[in-house]
Amino acid sequence: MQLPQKTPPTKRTGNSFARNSTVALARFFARIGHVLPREHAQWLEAIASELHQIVDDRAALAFALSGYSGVVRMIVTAQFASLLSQFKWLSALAGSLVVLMGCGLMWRNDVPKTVVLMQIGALGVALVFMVIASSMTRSFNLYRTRTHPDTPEDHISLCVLSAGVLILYTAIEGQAANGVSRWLSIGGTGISIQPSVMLMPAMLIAAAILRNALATIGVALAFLGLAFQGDALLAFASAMAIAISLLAARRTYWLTFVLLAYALLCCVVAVRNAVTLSPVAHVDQALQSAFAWTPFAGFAALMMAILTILPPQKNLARHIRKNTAVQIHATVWGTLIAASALGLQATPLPLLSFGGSAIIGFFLSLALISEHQHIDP
Amino acid sequence: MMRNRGPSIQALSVLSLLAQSHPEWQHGYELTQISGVKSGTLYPLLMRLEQQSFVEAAWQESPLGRPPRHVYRLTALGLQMLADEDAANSAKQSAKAVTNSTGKKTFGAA
Repeated sequence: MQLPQKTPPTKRTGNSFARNSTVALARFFARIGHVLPREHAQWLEAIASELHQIVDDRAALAFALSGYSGVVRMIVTAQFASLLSQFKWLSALAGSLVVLMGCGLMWRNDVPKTVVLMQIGALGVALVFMVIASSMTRSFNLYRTRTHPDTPEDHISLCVLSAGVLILYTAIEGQAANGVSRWLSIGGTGISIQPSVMLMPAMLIAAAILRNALATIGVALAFLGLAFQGDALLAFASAMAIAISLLAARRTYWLTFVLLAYALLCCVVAVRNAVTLSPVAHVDQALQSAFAWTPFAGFAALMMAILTILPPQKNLARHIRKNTAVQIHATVWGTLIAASALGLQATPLPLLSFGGSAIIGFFLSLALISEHQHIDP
Repeated sequence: MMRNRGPSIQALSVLSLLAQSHPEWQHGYELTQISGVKSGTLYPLLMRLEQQSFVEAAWQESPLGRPPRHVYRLTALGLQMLADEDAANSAKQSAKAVTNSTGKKTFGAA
C-alpha cells in the first residue's frame, strides 16, 4: 500500500444540509468534550480537526457520524468498566436497592410504618458503619499495606476477639425468644440487635486475613455462641466459608483446619439446639411475599440479592478464585440467600426481610472486602 | 482464563501503514482513505493502541489558519510488536506449508 502525497484541500463540494449537519455535530461533541477527562475529550477534538480537511461535505458528514459514534462507544465502555471496578459502591447500591424494595413490600403488606422506618434507619446506620469500617481497615492495617507499615495488626485482632465474646455473651445473657437468646436490647429504645449476624461475616474475613491466634479464638467463641443460640444456618454458612477459603488457599493453614473441625462440631450442636421459630411474614417470608405480589418482583428481588454478593465486576472470577475475603463474603451471604430462596422455614432473606442487624452485617462485610489491597499469597 | 488475542485485520492494516511512514506523523482522515478502515473503527483502534503505548499521538499546527490536527505514529514498542506479529505469521505460514506438503498433521513427538 503506497501513501499518497499530502495535498491541502482547495474547494469544498457537496450540499449545505450535509455541511450544516457536520458543523452541528462538531459543535455538539465539542460541548460534550468540555465535561470529559482530557484523555477522552482529545479524541472528539481529533475528529473535529479532520473535518476541516475533507472537501466533500457528504464524506465529511459520514466521517463525523462514524467517527463520533466509535469514539463515544469507546468512552462509554471505558466509563462503564471503570464503574464496574468499584466493587464496594456497586454492591452497596444493589444492597440499598434490595433494602428499599423490601421496605416497599412491607409498606404494601400493611406492616406498621414504624417498622419500615426502622428498616430505612438501619440502612442509613449501615452505610455510616461501612465508611467507618473501611477507614478502620486502612488505619489498622488489616491488609498490611505499605502505606501504614508501622501500624500493629493487634487492634483488629482485639476487635474480632471482643466480637466473639459479645456473641457468646448474647447466647448466655441476651434477650430470649422461643427459647433461644440471639438478641441484645439497646436499653430503653425498644430496639434489639442480633450481634451474630451483624458481626460474624466481618469477623470471619478479618480472621482469615490475619490468621493469628487472637482472631481465631474470637471466631471460636462466636461459633460457641452460635451453637448455644441454635443458629444452625449462620453456623453452617460460616463453616462453609472457612472450608471454601481453605480449599482455595495455596498454602496449608493448620490453625484454620482446626477451626473448621471445631466449627463443624458447633454446627452439630447448633442443629441439636435449633428451635423452630414461628414465621413472621415481613421477616421470614419476604421473598415469598415478593413472588406472591408479582413473579417479576420476586425475580427482581432475588437477582438484586445475588448482585449484592457477586456484582458483574471486571475480573470477578479471578477475585473469587484468589481473594479469601471475597470468598468468605460470597459464601456466607450466598448461603443465607440460597436458604431463603429454597424456602427453608423461618429463614429471612438478608436485606429484603426486616432485620437491621443483617443490613449492618452485610455492609460491614462489604467494607472489609472492598479494602483489600492484595491477593491471597 | 483470558485469551491473548492478536491484533485484528484492521489493526494490522493501520499498524502497517504507520510502520511504512515511520517516523513521519499521519492524520486520521488519510489513514481512513488509504486503509479503507472507517473512522468509527479507526479512532477506537487508535485510542486502544495509544493506551497500550503502541502508538503515540500529538497535535500538529496546520497551515492556512486551520485548527491543529491530531497526528499519529508508531512507538518503538509498536514497531517491535508489529515485527513480532510478522515473525509469528511467517512461522504459521511455514508450518501450514509443511502440513500441506506432507498431507497430515503431526502432534507432539513422533
